[in-house]
Amino acid sequence: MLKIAASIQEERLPVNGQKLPRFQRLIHEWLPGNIHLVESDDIKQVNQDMHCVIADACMGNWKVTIIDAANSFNPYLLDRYTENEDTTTILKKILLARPFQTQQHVSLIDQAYRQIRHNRQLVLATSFFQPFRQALKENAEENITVDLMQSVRLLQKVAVKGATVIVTDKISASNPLIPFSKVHLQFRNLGSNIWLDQLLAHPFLPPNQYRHVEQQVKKSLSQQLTLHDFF
Amino acid sequence: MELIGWIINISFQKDETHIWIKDEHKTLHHLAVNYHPIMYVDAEGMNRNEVEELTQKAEKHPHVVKTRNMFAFASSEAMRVTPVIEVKVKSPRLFPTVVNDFRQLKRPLLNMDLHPREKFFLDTKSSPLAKCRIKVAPNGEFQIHMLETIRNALYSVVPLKVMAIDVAVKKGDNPFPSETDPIDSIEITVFSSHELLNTDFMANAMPASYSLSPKNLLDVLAMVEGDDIQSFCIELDSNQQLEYRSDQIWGYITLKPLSLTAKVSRAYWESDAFLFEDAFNEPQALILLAGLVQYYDPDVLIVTNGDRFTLPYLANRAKYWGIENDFQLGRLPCKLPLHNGSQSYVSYGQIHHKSMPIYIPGRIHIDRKNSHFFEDSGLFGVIELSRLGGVPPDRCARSTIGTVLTSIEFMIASTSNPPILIPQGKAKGELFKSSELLLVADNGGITYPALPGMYGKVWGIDFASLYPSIMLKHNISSETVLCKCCSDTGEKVPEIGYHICAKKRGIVPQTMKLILEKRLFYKYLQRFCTDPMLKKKYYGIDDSLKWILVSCFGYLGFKNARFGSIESHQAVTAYARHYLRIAQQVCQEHGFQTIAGLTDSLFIQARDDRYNTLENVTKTIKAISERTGIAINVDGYFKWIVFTNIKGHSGIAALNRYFGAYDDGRYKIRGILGRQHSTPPAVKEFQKEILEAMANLPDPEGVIQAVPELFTILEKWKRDLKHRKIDPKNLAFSIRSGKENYVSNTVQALTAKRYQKFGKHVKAGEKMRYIIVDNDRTDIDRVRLVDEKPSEYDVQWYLGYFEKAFLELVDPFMPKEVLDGKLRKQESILRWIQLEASASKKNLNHETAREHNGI
Repeated sequence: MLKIAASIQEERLPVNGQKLPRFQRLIHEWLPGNIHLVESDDIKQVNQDMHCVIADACMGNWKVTIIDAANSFNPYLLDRYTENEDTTTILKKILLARPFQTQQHVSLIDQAYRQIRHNRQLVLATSFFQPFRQALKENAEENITVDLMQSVRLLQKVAVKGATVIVTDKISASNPLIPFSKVHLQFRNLGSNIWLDQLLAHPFLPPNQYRHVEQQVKKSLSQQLTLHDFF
Repeated sequence: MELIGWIINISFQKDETHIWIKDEHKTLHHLAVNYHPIMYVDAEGMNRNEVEELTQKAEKHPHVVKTRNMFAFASSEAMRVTPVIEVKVKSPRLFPTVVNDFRQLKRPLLNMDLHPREKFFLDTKSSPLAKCRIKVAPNGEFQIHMLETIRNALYSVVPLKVMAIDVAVKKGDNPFPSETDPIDSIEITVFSSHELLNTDFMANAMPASYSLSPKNLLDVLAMVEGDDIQSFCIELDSNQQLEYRSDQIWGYITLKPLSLTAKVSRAYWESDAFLFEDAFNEPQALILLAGLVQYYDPDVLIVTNGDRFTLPYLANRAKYWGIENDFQLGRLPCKLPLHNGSQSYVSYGQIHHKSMPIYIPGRIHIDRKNSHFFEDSGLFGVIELSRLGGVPPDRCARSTIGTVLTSIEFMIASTSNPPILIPQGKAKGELFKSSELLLVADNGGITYPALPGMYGKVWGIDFASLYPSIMLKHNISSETVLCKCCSDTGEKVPEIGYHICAKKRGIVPQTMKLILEKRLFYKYLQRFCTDPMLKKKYYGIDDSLKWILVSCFGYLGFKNARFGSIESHQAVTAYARHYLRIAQQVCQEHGFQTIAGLTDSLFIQARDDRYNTLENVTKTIKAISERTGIAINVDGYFKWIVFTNIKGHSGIAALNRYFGAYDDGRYKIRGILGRQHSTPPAVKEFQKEILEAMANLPDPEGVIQAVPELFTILEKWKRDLKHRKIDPKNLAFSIRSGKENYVSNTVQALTAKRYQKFGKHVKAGEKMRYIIVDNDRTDIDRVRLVDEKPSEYDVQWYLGYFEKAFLELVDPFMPKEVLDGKLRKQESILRWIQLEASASKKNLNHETAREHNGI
């Protein structure tokens, strides 16, 4: 089914290579009807970088749905990538929900699946396996396996329906999504911005196109500081 | 057979359910009954024939005793009742098997994933320690009928026999005891009445410091219990030769397992000496302990560190001596675990660590170090929550606040008519919403940070139980916020526009109503009750209810809360912001300006002295209460209050760090070192001394002028440090381990590594206590553990730390010239204060000289 979806010639999500070096220089476009798995040992950084992808999608009039298990969505960070666009308008285009446990995770992917109406739609799932890891750690969930299988299956259905699916997660030995991902990026030592030493199973970029990329992320001074901010 | 009494505890063994119930004559009855746990199969959408067919299918299951068709709400969110099939299972042991089999029906199963012992009370609609009538048929079938409601505030509970056990270990070279170390002593304290426990025992946190002599104890007991004296306090010491005097026999204890007879002498009461016939040794101590527990048969067993160490340790010692089968502490035979597990968990951003519970059949085992409610609210706090939530008291003592809250919500759901059933797990997650809405909705409580510095003549006002009151007033619950029925007609939440159901009352508001009303009543009782013992009892109950109210809001957004949702959580904060803005506006209208505000409280200052009257403040809070519909109180009038700044930014206030003095001489501190759990006791004492001195000063000017005098307090403590007059134990930091495996060389990491050196692997959330002994080192010798009983500490480092603690209090209001430029450095500030202090001394001397000279 994945193959069928991949063969559909849909409009692809363009990227702005000048703004954010990392993913955008590696990937020229995100493919509709496919799952893109982005793994890194610095998942916080990857989730921050994803704001650029979100901004690109919104500015290209794509509909964006975020299943934010990492709780990493930062509107102030997004503001940096939206250039001259009105951030409020951009924010209105983004649908977001956060799963905090496995059952909620399944339920949210299901909701995302039901909401897909057209093809210009990006579904971003940050730190996809975080709720499952947490459940295993707490030993609180009995049906982790069932929920996990259902999550993966539903995510496939989302892709098959034509959405561009990007999944981020930290590197794990055997990520259950690998067999289902058309594109699988794996970054190591991303935190120190030295080399992207692994780029696995990427259909378009041969290994000789690895590049050294750097990104300066400034802290957002968005919080209210004094009483005067209110009056 | 029919009994009227209070259920002390229940336990499941094989297919039987054991109930221990105490009647009105304080007689304990042990009943073995057939309890049939109930689950429900949701038959929504099925026609009558299909339901009938499903019922017949269910009845054919070999472990199903009975089925019944009924109507109920399949969840708190259900709009209407649906047909459900009630399935009674043969026994709790077989319940999981039946649930698994019924999953194959592919129908939603309800009330099936609750804690088994809690489920007993839910299914039988009863509560532990609440008066009830129980009828037991000869075949073991039974019925419980409650004779009082859990809403009852003026209830009485049959006196419980309480025994406290403290075991001391004879340690070797290792500062931490291990299971191979022999017993040093066992201290047993028995109380015949829990009233006594709740007054005297809790007043003295450590039983070891309990100063009642046996004779006094008798007097106290006589006062409380009349002639019914069963209590005494004994201490077993393995080094002591114990003897037996036959002429003064007070009682006989038959230690059944080994047929060993020990005799306790009446002379003990007079002479403080406990007498025993043979030379005392460790296995005898264990047997005697088990024998005493069996003989006195306490309802409540308080074992210090019982879950984590003491009970597994005693089990190990019993195994070592080959008497593990005879070492029984329960009312049913059960073996204590030799090793007990533990787990770390995150609560409010902090990592905590707790041991797995050890339940002793028939008794209420409370581990004082593993019970939040018992430590804080005493036995009556535990009893109250146990009754409200239908949670066995031993489980209740160890439960988190959220677990108890959920149990109370379950009780309310199950007692509604028709009943509201509970689906498996918690499925309701956050709904997809635009990130623009999220930006507003996720804002949390409002904060008006003050400009750092000192303010005079400030009124503190705060809403009483703001969040629970909002939940109650606006009917906020997971099933009512964004309900399916009232999108047009429901009340709209300010700012975020969520609608709230107008047709049904949510479970959470019902719970809040129960707790708020009860708490109000207990507050009233506390105020007007003259009996100190009752006052203490009501305080304990009030305190336990307060904890529920404190955490109910946070729990509303918790991932595993059954009746919570992110949206309801957001609705509460939206209302809170709305109300705080109203409060601020009313204050402005009444001539006050806002100095600072935090979630539910405001610090206001009159624009001029005309407005600075109690009448005006009273008028203001009355107006706020009228406009918001929520009670607001005056916290107090601050002669002066200091809002501190964040580290490195003198212009930015730390929102939760302030201190100030009320006009009656009391003071309030928040967030400063003296308030933090990790701060060494000596530093807390030091800050307290300074604050007490400051609290007597009338206004900000007085405080600024007194800085040089305050500096002398610092100098006194520094002298004590230099002369090593401070006990190293009082310089110990107490922190929680953030993780299990440290890689860095921070103080926390080194402390954890030092624990490891002594064979103790510190788990995330576990407490560590250490003293800095050489701050220049980068290895584990930088610190010493309190358990090592060190005699040394790093004087230079602690001098700096005391200076830091001092500056935390005076820095925010230091004169501007000190804060500007290079003088900002800590040394410069202290030098300035020192100079001022010596200058003021000089002036004083000069003035004295002038007086002497008659000028």
